[in-house]
Amino acid sequence: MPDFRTLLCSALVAGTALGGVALAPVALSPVALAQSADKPADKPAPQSAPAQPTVPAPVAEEGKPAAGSDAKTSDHSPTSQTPAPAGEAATPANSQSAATGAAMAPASGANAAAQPEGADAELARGAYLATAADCVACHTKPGGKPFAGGLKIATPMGDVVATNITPDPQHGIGSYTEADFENALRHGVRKDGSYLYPVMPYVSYAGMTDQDVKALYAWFMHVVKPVAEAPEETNLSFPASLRSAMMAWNFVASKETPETGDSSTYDQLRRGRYLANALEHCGTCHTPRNFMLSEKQDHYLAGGSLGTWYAPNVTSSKTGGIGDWSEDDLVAYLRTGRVAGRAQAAGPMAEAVEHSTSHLTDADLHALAAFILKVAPMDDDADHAARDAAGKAAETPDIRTKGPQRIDDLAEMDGPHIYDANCSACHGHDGAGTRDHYVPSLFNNSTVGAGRPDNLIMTILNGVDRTAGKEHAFMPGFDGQSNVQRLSDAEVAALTNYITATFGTGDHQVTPELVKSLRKDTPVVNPLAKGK
Amino acid sequence: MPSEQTLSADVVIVGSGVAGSSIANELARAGISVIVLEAGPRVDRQHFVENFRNLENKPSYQGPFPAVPWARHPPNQITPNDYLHTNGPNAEAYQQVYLRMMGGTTWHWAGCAWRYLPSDFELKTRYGQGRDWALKYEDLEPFYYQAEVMMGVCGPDPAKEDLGSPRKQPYPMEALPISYAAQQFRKLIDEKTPWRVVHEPQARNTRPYDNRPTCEGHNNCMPICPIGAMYNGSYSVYHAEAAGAKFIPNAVVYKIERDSANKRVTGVQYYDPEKNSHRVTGKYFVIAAHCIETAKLLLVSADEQSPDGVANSSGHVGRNMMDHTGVQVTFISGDKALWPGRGPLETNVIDNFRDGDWRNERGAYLVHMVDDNQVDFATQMAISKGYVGRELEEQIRYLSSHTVRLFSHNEALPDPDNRLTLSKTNKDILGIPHPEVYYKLPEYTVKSCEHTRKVFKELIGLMHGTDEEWTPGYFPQDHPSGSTIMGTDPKDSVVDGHCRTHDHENLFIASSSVFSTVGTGNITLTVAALALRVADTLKKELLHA
Repeated sequence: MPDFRTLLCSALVAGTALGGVALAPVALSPVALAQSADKPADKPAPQSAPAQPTVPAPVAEEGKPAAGSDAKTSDHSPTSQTPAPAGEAATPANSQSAATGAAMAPASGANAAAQPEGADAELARGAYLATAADCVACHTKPGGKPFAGGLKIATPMGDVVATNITPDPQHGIGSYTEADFENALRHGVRKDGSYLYPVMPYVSYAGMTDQDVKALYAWFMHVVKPVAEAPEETNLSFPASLRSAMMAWNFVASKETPETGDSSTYDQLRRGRYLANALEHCGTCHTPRNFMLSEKQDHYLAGGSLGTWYAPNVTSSKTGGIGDWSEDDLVAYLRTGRVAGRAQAAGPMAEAVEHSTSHLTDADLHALAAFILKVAPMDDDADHAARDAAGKAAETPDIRTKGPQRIDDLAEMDGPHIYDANCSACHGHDGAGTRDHYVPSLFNNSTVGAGRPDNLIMTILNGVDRTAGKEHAFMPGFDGQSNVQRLSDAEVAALTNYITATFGTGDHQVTPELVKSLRKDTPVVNPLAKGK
Repeated sequence: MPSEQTLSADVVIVGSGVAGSSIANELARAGISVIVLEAGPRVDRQHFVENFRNLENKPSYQGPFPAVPWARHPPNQITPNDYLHTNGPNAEAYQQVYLRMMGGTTWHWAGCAWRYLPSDFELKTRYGQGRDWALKYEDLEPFYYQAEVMMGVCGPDPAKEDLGSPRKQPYPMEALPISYAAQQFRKLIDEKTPWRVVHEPQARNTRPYDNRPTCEGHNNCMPICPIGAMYNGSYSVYHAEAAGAKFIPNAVVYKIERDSANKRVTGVQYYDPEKNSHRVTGKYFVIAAHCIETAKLLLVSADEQSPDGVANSSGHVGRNMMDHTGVQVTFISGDKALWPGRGPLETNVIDNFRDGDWRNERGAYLVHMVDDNQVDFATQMAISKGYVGRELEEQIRYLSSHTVRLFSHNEALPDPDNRLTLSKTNKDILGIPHPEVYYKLPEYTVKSCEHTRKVFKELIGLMHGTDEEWTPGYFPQDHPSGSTIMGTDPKDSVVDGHCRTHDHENLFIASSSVFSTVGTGNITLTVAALALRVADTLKKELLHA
């Protein structure tokens, strides 16, 4: 199974880490849904469904791999900034967000201010669901038109190319009936009968209610702008090239069971569970997998490696998970991507915050947080104390000893010097960051205090690029594509060890080889005269 | 030593600064093969940041960049200098500094990204002074915008603050917030003078841009931005390399070869640091090696065919040297504390003297209220006044929060007598002569500086200033220009309106050396715009040939 596992894992990695999609989420539909969600019993559920148990039981089963690719980390050419720098011909307008805006407009416009009804309400619901399920993350390539696909998800077996899911009849899903749509969304089967790669998290979406599937379908068909563009075909190497192999996998993989009734009327915990499992597919990354790559349901949200980034244990364990967080902390984190003195989202989680959770309604964020914080505690192999508890401000040593060196002296530096030259300008010589925490402190920081150095290394290599609300959090990466500074494997290792020793739980003895294995970019473009 | 295998590309560029690297980037993206020869080494930021922090003399802009022996640059602005030898009545006023290394001199600049005014291109026609360029503002406008996007320039909304250079698009990024010190200054100017203070356009991030962070106001743009929020040429090098351009560091070009008719350049030769010679051939050649080194290279390439140097049938190579030689004063404000030094170095300008009818007799200028940290200056002053102990600390606090530094960019005129030549006595380790410059400030500029002094004195009075310290004589601004001057007549100019040399049809120059006048705004954005226009010309000729 190793090939298959690697395939899926890397798909996952790439998965949420999606590139540069500046989806302005539906302006008004969340409001619309919030209104209905806030008054659960006003309307009878359209279908009389038996009330579901509200126990947030660490859950039946859940999703498979998410989809996506790592455009942000693999492609450092300027992405969706307004005018593209880097000498791309000067084309100022962000066609992407413009197009998105246009695509979204009918939904928002139609529902402005008033409580939507009928078809409008359904479209508004569909728009919100698309955001909560983060469809755009995978189905839009950087700079591409919304939902027109084309994003390449790098896997060792080749690239899985996200498909065009706009309602264009020829290149998209315009010819799909609602039943066809449902079959793809919940069962991973295309209209032509072939199987989707589980890069598409249909095992999670299987948990969506009929009503929500219908709303999502209506929104895609009526609001999303058709785009007559055919993305490249996915062309994997054997055996993954056999889409039929997916049938066998589907047979053994666990799936969500469809929820029933009107999901907007659920009580808080049931709503939270629905959001976590059927829509946001949290477990896709945060639940470790068994040898068949199914999520281990007895380790729900207990943490798993995505090959590069590590999706940490977010169970309610006070030592291994986030049991020391309040519901408000978690809501703030999901809305803004950061909580001062605890954690900040980078990599795939930053993408999830940017494209999805930051757009959820307040009620939904509280529902999601309340549910997550009730997930059964699981100890962690590497984290034996709260990750955000470690460290304190520490004055870095006085290293002002030498005079200026000649400009061609590019000798590799040691940890204190690398920190001084590249980190201290923002994070401070004492690691305290800025007073407003735009630049976070390095102590009381889950990324630094974690038992696994993976995410610290990934952050140093790839940086942080996360927009939530009005805040665009940004830290440059220091990988081989960096404009700011390109660090060698040995330098990243030395820096990681210096930071964890100074502000975290101790020297993690990270080796250059580990850094090399996590470095997803192409090798340093100009092997500078390192070590000369 | 025998040459290695001859290298070849469609376009061979000498120099990897903002001009050379941005041309390389444009061409490589269009699928054209490019080789860039850089005399200096590859460099990186972290070593410069460490050099800066280790430096005792922080205001020394060249300090963190000690040159390599095979590609010397001026070590400082002191005359006599052991690389750039200036002489003449205003030798000190032309003591320019620049950097020879990958990415070029924008490693240390303040990011000021001015467009020239339309009148700057027509000084002769409008005011009967100097020369006209062989192009108009409108010709350059699209390339100005392209350069602003490439660098990431922030600036004011043109509807609210018109800087005099018509724009078709807004700035790529919003203007920097005005610092506290600049706000105080602007308030004073608004209330007590007929002048105005405007936001200075800056190649500096006011939001994440080009995978670089937002400016945090470290206040040491010069000598080195520690976080990469300010543009420098190394980003264009990186982008060009990613697009396939080949950069060769430590390649000191010393010879430009031509065909037997002396009409086309056929190749260039360079030394590596061990003085092995290498040859690079191509279809087109661009010299983008900074005003001083570009002229030097053309002169060094003199041979029997061109005894006065390449592209020099007019005799104007090395002549018409200009700068924004200006006036500088530092004083202690008697008004409220300003606390300068919070934010980038240069963010605001008095722009009322950039143009006017008086330009028929005296040069234009702009005024910077420099927003640099003044603790160093204040400490020296407090000590020299004899303070000790607690009083010394209080004085440092008071003086550093009340110090005001003003300087001006005053317009020069192209005067053929202001001339760069090759040193007959000083050579580098490769045997290449050092540059020498004769400089006498044009009367036009002297009058401009006199006007500036009056304005500065008025400002000092308005701020109840004391302890004036005027920089003696004139203040070089490191904006050398004019050494391969542009014009329509091959008899008195070196390049045409497309920066193509009159003498050699496939040789272009991308540098401030082509400027016909120097205007008042910092030169870099105009250098970049001209370079992008050269790239545009080359693309048209190579792709449609």
